Amino acid sequence: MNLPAEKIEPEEIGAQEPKGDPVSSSDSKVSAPSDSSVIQPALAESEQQIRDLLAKTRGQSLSKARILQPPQQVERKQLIRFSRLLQSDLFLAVLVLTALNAFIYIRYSGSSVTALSLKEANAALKENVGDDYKYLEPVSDFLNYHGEFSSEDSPEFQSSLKRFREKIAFLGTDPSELFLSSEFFRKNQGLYWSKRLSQSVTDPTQAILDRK
Amino acid sequence: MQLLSLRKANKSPLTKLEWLVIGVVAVACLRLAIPNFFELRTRAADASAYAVYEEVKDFLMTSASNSQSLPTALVFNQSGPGSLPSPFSKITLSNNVKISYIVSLHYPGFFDLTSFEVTHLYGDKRYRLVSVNNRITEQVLEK
Repeated sequence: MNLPAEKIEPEEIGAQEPKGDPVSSSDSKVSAPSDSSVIQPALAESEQQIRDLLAKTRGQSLSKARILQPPQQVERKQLIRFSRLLQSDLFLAVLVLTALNAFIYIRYSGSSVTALSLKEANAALKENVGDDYKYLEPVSDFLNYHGEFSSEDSPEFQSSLKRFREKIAFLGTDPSELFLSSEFFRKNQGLYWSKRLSQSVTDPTQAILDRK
Repeated sequence: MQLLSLRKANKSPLTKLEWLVIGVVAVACLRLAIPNFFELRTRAADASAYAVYEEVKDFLMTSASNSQSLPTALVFNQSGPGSLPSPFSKITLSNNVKISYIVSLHYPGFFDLTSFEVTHLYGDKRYRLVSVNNRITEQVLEK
């Protein structure tokens, strides 16, 4: 598109300005300048003035046809644009995704604890329990076993139970009648054994004396 | 031509800069959210296991504090859904939650040992409690 030859650069427009701020000047509010070949910066106060200026500058470069609008109109345009942004599908999708993410983060924040390896956990346990760690020795097989004791006849279970009974005897308790594999019952694909121990059965002093 | 292109650009409700900002925010949110969604099932499973862990812990600790001497018991490999065997029959396991073991040894006047471990089929953590003579250690272990 060919630009009219008589048009001048914005610098030249500024040079022709008499004095002061063109926006605040009352002269600059005039929508139609005296020299029709020069597009003066003007403050358009109404829709009609904007239309007139647009009609005047049609076919010319917009960079040279500057229309200054009052701040209220600019703010209104920005508000409309912002409301369109809020209503856009992409914005809503991002908002929903963020809200869902925040919900998941808060809902499961309790379970997001750093897990220890078995070795680290056992070392921490030993440190925390102190001298009483010896009482854990008999059950160490059960605490560290990763398999499933689904049958009382399985070799893993038999060997673990044997070690448990041996080690608990060293603590001074008499396991001769306790923890027999024949006394285990099956439930939920697993095993269980339960008995209320009396003082006579579990008196460590008596058990030690009996062993002697 | 310039006017034409400007008019075409103005057909979009947003400017290029606004689209760019939205794009950057969307990518940042997705980068945070996508790993969260992938871990959703695992985290939900772990939360379910942890709920059972708390239930078993409450039961054992309440029983101990009420001086109701619990019977000595060994329980292995209990998977939900269903209730646990006696003396823990009040505890119900939800689906896919597994109690690897409950060791409850009470030798009156000698020592008390309570330990149990809860996990979930789809979780990646094990919740373990070990109590020796009322000295309690709670741990979260890798599966």
